[in-house]
This record gives sequence, C-alpha cells and structure tokens, in this order.
Amino acid sequence: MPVTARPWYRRPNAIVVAGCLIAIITFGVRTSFGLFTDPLTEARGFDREAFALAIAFQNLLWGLGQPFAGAIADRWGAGRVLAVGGLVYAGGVALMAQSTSPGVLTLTGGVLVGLGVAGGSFTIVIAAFARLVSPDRRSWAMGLATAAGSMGQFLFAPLGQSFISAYGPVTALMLLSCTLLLVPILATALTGKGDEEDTGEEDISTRQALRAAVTHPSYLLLTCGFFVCGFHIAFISVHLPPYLSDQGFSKGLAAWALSLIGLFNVIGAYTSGILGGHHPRRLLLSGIYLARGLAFTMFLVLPITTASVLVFSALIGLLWLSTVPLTSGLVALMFGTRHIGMLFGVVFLSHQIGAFLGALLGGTIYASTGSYDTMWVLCILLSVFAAIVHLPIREQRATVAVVPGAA
Amino acid sequence: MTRRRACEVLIGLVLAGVSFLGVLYQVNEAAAAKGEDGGVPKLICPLH
Repeated sequence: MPVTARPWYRRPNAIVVAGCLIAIITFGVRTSFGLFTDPLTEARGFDREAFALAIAFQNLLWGLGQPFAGAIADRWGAGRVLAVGGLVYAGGVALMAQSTSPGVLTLTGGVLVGLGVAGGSFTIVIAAFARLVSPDRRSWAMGLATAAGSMGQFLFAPLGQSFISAYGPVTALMLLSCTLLLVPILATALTGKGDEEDTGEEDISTRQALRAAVTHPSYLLLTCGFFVCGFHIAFISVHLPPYLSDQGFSKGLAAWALSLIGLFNVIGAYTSGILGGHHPRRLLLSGIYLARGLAFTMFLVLPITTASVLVFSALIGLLWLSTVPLTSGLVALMFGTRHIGMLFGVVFLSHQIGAFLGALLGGTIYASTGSYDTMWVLCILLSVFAAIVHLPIREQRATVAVVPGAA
Repeated sequence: MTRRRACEVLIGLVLAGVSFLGVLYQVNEAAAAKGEDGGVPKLICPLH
C-alpha cells in the first residue's frame, strides 16, 4: 500500500505545537475571567454573586460535558470536537460580553462557555496527543500541553488587563473571543484518529469501553486518586489567601504565594511528563500525593513564617498539575487510545467533583469552626489515601472482554 | 546529552522563563491593586 506523505501541519512537531497553542489560548482566556469580575459587573450592573454563579455553572458544565465531548472526539476525531468547541467557547465569550441580565450571563458565560471549554480545550488535546503522538514521546507531550495551558494564565493576564484598560470590559471580552477563533484553525493539525488500527486494540463500542473501565479496579483507583487532586487544589486556590490573612500576613504575600504556585506548576507538570515516559507512573503519582501530605503536615505543624509560606507554595506548585500527564498516560496505557477521550473525561469529572467539594467544604468547615485546621487535616488524610490507592494499580494493558451484541 | 534531551531542557527553560516573567507581572499588579480584593491575583489554576 503506498504511503501518503503527511502535510507539514500534520507532522508530529506541528501537532504538538498546535495542541499546546490551543491549551495556552483556551486556558489563558478562561483564567483571565477573574479580571472581569469587577469591571463587567460595574459595566452591566450585575452583582458579584451573578458573576460567581455563571462561573460555577461553567465549571459544572465543563466537568459534566467532558466525558461526552471525549466520547464524540473518540468517534469523530479530536480535531472536529476542538473546532466546534472552540467556536462555542468563542460564541459564549462574545455573548457573555453582551449579557445584560444575570440569567443571560449564566446561559452565556456559564452554560455556553462551560460546554465550549469541555469540547475545545485541555482534555481533548490530551486525548488527541494520546492518539497522534508516538508512544515514546506521548508522556512528554502530555506534560508539555499541561504546562503550556498553565503558562497561558501568565500570558493572558497582562493581555486581558491591557484590553480592559484600553477598551473597557465589553470590548476586551470581544477581543478575547476573537483570539479563541484561532482554535478551529489550529485544530486542523489534530484531526484524524491516529493509527489505532495498527495497535491491536479491540474494536469495542463506547458503552463496552466504559463498562470495562468502571469494572476495572485500577481505573477506579486512578479515578479516586484524581478526585483527591481536585479536592486539594481547589481548597488551596480558594482558601489559601484568606488563611494567610487569618494568620496576619499581607495580601502581597498571598499574591506571591499564588504566583509561585503557578510558576512551579508549569515546571512540575512539564517535568512529570518527562519522568512519566521513563518511570512507573503509579509510583510517581503515589510519590506526588505523599509529598503533598508531607507539605501539608509541615505547613500545619511548623511555625508559619513568610519563608515557610513561600517554600510551601513552591512545593505545592511542583505537585499541582503534575498528576495530569501521569493520570492521562495511565488511562491510555491501560485502555488504549481508541476511547481515551471519554475514559479520561470520566476521570476528569471525578477531579471536578473533588474540586467542588474542596472549595465547598473549606468554606463550610471554616464557617462552623472558625478555623481551617480540620481542612488541613482532611487534606493530609486524603493525601495518604491517594498515595496508597495508586500503589496496587496494574500498569499494563487491561484485558477487555468483548461480549457479542453488547454494544 | 542527546539532541532530544537538549530540546526538552530548552523548552522547559522557555516555559519557566515566560512563567517567571508572569509571576513578576502578577505580583506587581497585585502590589498596585486597590480595593477589597486588591493584592491577590484572581487567577491561578487553569482547572478551576
């Protein structure tokens, strides 16, 4: 059979670059929404609660939509889903700028953007890399995409702020919406479903793949571990600044702490992707959660000083999204790449549920006890739990029993 | 060091360098911010 040469934009390096640019743009735009809280609420006459409700719906729809977007990408190709998701995302941001009531804002900035993010960003890029990048570079590429997405916040924060300062929040959102229109163009590099026909994967339906995964102990353990990841980082993201304020530190230190987490997150995610290509991922994950537990314990037990806050932030940053390339890599290893979008989407949903609970419980426990101590202890216990549950994961291709007619 | 490993290190350094500049920007913005939330960046984790 004659081999057709790939066009330049479908070659491995172009695929990785395009995927990383999509991650930068989609995550960058999304993390810049925080900059619009005050300007947009003032311009449109909302209150902060309306804006917060829209963002909460956005997170919910993103998490719930991810397995479905993944399943569609598995069937029709990641490129198409990214293109449509990018258009929905851009449309949602543009309409968000035009929203004149809290209800409409929830529909546009919440529902539409949430669905757009589910289809047009990170996890679909990871799924595309799993299929389109060769196995020896896959873990590195996944780590690179995670790090690039994380770096997006640093690029789009100044961009979003300068747009707001120069043109006001409404026009700034329209301009950000325009940058999202690059996603469908970049997605052309991520079209196709790879060469799974040559990898010996079973030809099973989405339902069969899901059934096989949810009855597989290693997949369930991995899902439990990723739940803990979401719980930790949402708690820290939301509650670290007020915790530091309670301890008598300035907001400037909180700014340094969060920025350091962001910086070391980029380093940690990229490094873990490289390490995942050479070492057992389950052991790396176990080590990451154990290290998180140690960091939480030291932070809770030792006297809290400016130095300890900065060291804690750097450590937690290194361990922040370093779980992502390892977790997604394990899903690809266990179940192959044919249904990676849907299967990683389900694992990701557990992450978002954990995040929801981490943010919620932090507030609830603080409101009832007047302290975050219980939450810190809970974080430590969950770290130990996650470190343990990754150990028995079998890092090998799962055997999938195909039942004729079960599709 | 192989060429591939050198590329990996170079890419990592670029990512870290750009992010470090981002940290400086965020901290400067936070220092200049006023109002009840001033001082704390309103963005951090791309997953939340």
